[in-house]
Amino acid sequence: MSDREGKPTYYYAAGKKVLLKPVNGLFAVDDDEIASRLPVAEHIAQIRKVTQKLRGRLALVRPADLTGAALDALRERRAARPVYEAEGALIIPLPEVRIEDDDQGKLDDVRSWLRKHAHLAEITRDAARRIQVRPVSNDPVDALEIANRLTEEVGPAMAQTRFIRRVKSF
Amino acid sequence: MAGLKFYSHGKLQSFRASTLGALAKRAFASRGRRGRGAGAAVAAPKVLKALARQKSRLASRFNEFNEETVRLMPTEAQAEHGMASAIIPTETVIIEGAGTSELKWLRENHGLNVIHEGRSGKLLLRASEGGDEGLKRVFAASTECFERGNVAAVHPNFLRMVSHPNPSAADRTVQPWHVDNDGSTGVVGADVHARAAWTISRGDPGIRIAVLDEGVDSRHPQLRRSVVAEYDAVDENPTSRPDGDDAHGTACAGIICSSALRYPGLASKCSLVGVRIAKSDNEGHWIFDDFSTADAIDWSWEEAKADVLSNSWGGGPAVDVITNAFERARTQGRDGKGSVLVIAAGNNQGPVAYPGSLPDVLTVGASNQWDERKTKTSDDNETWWGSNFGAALDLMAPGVKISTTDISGSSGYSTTQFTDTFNGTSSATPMVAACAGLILSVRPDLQETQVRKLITDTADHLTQTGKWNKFVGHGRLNCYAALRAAKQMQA
Repeated sequence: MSDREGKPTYYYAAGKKVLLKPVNGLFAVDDDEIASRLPVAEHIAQIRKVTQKLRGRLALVRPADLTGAALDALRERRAARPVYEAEGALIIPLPEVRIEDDDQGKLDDVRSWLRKHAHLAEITRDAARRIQVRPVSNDPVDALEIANRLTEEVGPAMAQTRFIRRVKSF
Repeated sequence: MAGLKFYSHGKLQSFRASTLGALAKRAFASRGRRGRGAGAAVAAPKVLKALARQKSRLASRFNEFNEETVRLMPTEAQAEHGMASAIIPTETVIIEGAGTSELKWLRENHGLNVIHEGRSGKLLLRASEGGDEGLKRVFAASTECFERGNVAAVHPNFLRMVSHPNPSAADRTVQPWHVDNDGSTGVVGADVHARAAWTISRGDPGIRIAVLDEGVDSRHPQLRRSVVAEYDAVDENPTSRPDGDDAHGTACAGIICSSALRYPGLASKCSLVGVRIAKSDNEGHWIFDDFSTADAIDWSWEEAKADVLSNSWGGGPAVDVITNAFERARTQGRDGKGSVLVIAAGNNQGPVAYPGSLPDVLTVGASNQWDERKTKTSDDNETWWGSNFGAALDLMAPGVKISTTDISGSSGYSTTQFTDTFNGTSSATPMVAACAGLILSVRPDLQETQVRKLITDTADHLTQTGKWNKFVGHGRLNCYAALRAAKQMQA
C-alpha cells in the first residue's frame, strides 16, 4: 500500500492529486477495534485514558502518551490508524469508499473492476448513481488505494475515501 | 450668522446658522415658554454629544471643533413625526469634476486644499481658517467656483443630523449595528440597510433557509417558530440541537430568523432548516465527517427543500464528495432553479478556505463597523483575526460584534439567550443567506444565478474604483438595494 512502500499518499479531488502528509505524532483508534484486537485489558484502559474523542468511536492518540507495551500492542494488532495533514486540517481516512457517476455504463465498469479485485474490496451498497465499498482488510490506507486505483484505472466522476477532518473552527 | 449663500440645484440659497453654545442658551431662555425655539427641533447638547461620538471621523472637516465654533441650522421639518433634523456646515467643500487649474484657483484665491479623494472624481477641500472665517471662506469659494462654471458640482459640505422616526412602543429598542449603524461605533450607514429592506419584505415562510453548522437550538424561544425541518448528521438525533457549549449554529440562525425585537433576524419571516454537520472538540476545532456532510447537503436541498444553504464553516483540502453535493444543490435544488449556496471565506486573514473556494457560490468575507475589510489591524481593534481573501471572494457583510441569539445557559457565548459579540465571516455569511431568502420571498421565480448576481451587483462598493477586488469582493452587502433590484427585475 502506498505510504507503507514509502510513496506519497494522496487522493483525487476535481481530477487532481491532493497530497496527504503523515502526522507522526498522532494516530487514530477505533474503540471497538482496540477492545476486540488488544488482548491485554490494562493496555486498553491505558489507551482509553489518553484518547481525544473525534467522532463516534474514533479518537486521536499521541504515541508519547502511551507506554511502550501499549503502543507496541496497538501497532502489532494494526489498531493504530494513520493521521494525515493537508491544508491545515487533520485528515483521518476511514475504511470506506464512495463512487458516484450519472453514467450507468461507467458504474458498470466500476462493478466489473470490483469483481476483478474482490480480494481487495467488497460492495456494501449499490444504488442508482452511487456504489459504496469497503476494503476487505478494513484498513483505511487500503481504502485510499482502492479509490485512487478506481480513479486511475476506471475513471468514474468520483471515487472518494471517507475522511474525518479536524479543522480550526471559524 | 447670516449672509452665507450657496448654490443648490442651480439656485442660490441662503444659510443662517448659530453656534451650538448660542443655541443652548436660547433653549434655556425659552424653557417654560411654549415657543418655536431652536431647541424644539434639535437640542444643542444632543448635537454636541452626537458630534463628540464621531469626533475622530469628523475632525478632518473642521480646523476647530467645539461648541463655540461649530454652527448649526436647526430645521423643524417633519418634527411632528419625530424627524427633527439639523444641518451643520463644515469648513470643507465638495467638488466634482474639477481640473488642476480650478483646484489651483481655489488654493490661490481661497486657501482651500484637497484633504480627501472620494469616488467618481469627488474631492473634499478644506479652508485654511477655522471658525466663522472658515465658514465664510467655504461659502464664498463654493459660490464663486460654481459661477465660474468649470466644475460639474461644488457646494459646502454639510453634516446632517436626522433622527429616526419615533419608534412604536413595541419597537423601542436599539438596533444592532449590522441592521442599522447609527455611527455610535463606526460609520453611519455601514450596515446591510436592513430597515429599508424590511419596508419591502421580512421574508416569506415558504422560503426555507438551511443553516449547516454545529447544531441549531431549535427550542430557542426566538427561533423555534421558524424551524420547519431538522437533521443531525453527527449523532443522528431527531433534532439539530447542539451538544454542550456548541453555540455557533444558534448564533448563525439568529442572524437570519430571530424574532426578538432587540436581536432581529434579517429574514425573520422565512423558515429555518437546522442541519447539524459538525461538533466542537472544545479546543477550538470542528470535527467533520465528509460523507455525512455531503449527505446533509443533499438532505437540505432534496428532502428539506431548502432554497438557501448558509455555510459558516470550512477548512482543509477539497473533496469531491462535498463539492458534488453542493453542485447538485446548486443545479437541482428548487426544482431545477437551484438552491443558493452561501459560504464563509474564513477568518485567518489568508486565502479563502474550502468550500468557500468553490466557483458558483457566494463566498462571504467580513467587514467592520467602519465599512473596512476586517483585518488584524482594522479600526475595530480585534487583533486576533482577519477576513480571508482571494479570487473566490464575492462580497463582504458585517462580521464584528454581531448581536444574535445564543444557546441558553452559561455554556454559550453569554449567560443569556443572546449575545452581542458573535464574530467572523461566520456571522457575515448568514446575512447574505438571509438577503437571498428575502429576494426569493419577493421573486421566487428567480434562478440561483440571478440571485447571486443581484446580491453582488448591488453591494455597496468598498474600493475607490468601485470594482471587484480580491480583498473586499464586490463590496458590502446592501439588502435594500438587492431587494429593490429584484423587484424591478423583468420576469
